[in-house]
Amino acid sequence: MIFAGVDVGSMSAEAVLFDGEKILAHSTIVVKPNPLQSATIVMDTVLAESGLTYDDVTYCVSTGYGRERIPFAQHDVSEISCHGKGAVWAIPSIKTVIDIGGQDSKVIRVDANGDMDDFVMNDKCAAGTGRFLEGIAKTFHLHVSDLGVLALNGTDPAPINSICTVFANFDVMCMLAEGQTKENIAYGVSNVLARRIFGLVSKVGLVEDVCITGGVAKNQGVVRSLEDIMEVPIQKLPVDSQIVGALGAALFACQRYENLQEKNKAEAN
Amino acid sequence: MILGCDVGTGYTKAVVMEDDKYLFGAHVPTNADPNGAMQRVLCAIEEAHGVNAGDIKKIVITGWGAGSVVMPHEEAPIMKSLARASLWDLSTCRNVLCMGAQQTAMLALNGKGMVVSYRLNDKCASGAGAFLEIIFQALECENENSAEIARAADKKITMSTQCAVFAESEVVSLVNDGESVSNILDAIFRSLVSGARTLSKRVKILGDVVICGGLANNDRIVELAEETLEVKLHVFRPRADYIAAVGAALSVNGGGK
Repeated sequence: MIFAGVDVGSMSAEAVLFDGEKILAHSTIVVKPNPLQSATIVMDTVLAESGLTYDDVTYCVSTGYGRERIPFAQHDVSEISCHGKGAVWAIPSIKTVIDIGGQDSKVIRVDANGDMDDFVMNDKCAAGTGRFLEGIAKTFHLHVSDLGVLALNGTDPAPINSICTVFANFDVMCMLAEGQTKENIAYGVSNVLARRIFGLVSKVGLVEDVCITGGVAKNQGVVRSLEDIMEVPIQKLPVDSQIVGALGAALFACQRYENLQEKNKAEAN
Repeated sequence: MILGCDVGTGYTKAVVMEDDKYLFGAHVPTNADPNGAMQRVLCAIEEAHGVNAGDIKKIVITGWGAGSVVMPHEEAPIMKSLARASLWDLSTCRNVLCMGAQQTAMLALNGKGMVVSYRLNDKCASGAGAFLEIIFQALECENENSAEIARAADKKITMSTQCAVFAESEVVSLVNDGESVSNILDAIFRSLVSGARTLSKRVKILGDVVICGGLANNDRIVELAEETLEVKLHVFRPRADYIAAVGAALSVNGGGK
């Protein structure tokens, strides 16, 4: 049996195929303007890579933006639940999931089953999201994925005080003009983002183990800054941090299918 | 002659004054480089008005970048500069609403010209000039004709976000959905002045209000600020964003007059 999860975010879309025990395949694309289009393309891709078709999929759950409108998904689940589910499947001891996405950030408290107990979300302000880093990367004329390595090479973080993405960008321009190194500025930028995230973590309460999901989790500079500020280690996920939402959706697909089977059996009796 | 300068985060403004009278001024983008901006604005003054460096007795600088400027100068605090210049322009002034590139400030003055209370928003770009610049870029329009464009709005729409970064994306999708630039600009202007309203709840309006800063050069923004604050606003003369530079020049000799 094959279970599928598809997650359309603001910057990227992911699909995961799961056989009830392990991940069979996963795929990530940059989003198209329309969530339905993104979902279809990423699903087509992952199925083609596995030599499968839609008919081979037993049950499919969608999550993320426009998750209600994905025609090939039988059910949809919020991305908050999916990130919790996926993270706990990957590391069973996880209690706190920090999801830093392209356009929002969330801190999710989960129980041993990966079900959500509490969460806090910032989607009002670009500070503390991937968009913050995108803006800074643009000022550096770099791709956002290069910022992490740059920050890791910094030794003395530049003192950036602005929280606002627009103002922090301006601070970065001033620091470049003053001759600060890009490495130290990137280190300072990681600290700004980490402080903002720590504010969210404090609202939910910090309970170990902690992991980070979403695209920004790949930024090692941010991971270092967050570990320094939270004073706890961040667990390294054994799966791609970006597919955790889609993985959670696939796990919900599996769970829901089993529940439906049991219900059908009970009704038949 | 005294040269008053305001090295702001957006623009660097310079005015030449003599005996507390405004003679002329100039402004250049700061481009995150206070020293470069000072040199460029001095060149602009010299070229346009034939002033020689020797004619200027003193340079007084205020604003964000004042501390970084290396040429010999005196420094004036920004709040005092705003208050001095407001009273110089309008002697009955009791409040100053300054809408700059990176901050919005509301000041209250007592009858003797002392700043008795003030509030700032300098944490978030919503409500700041930097926000508007981003939107102008997204809409491909210019500040010069934006007041007119916004006035032609025929429908009130509301922005769903306050954040400048998210608003930029929202504006792009509104354009793609066929919304008119007039209606979008009108919504953006309304969202900008709503921040001033929040400040006015914290700092009481005591009497005549001077509005200043780069955003006050836009007469539609001034009109909407008047609507939301429910007061008549006096736009600083000779030019709304020259206020701190004028105030800096007025501070010579302790601002005695």
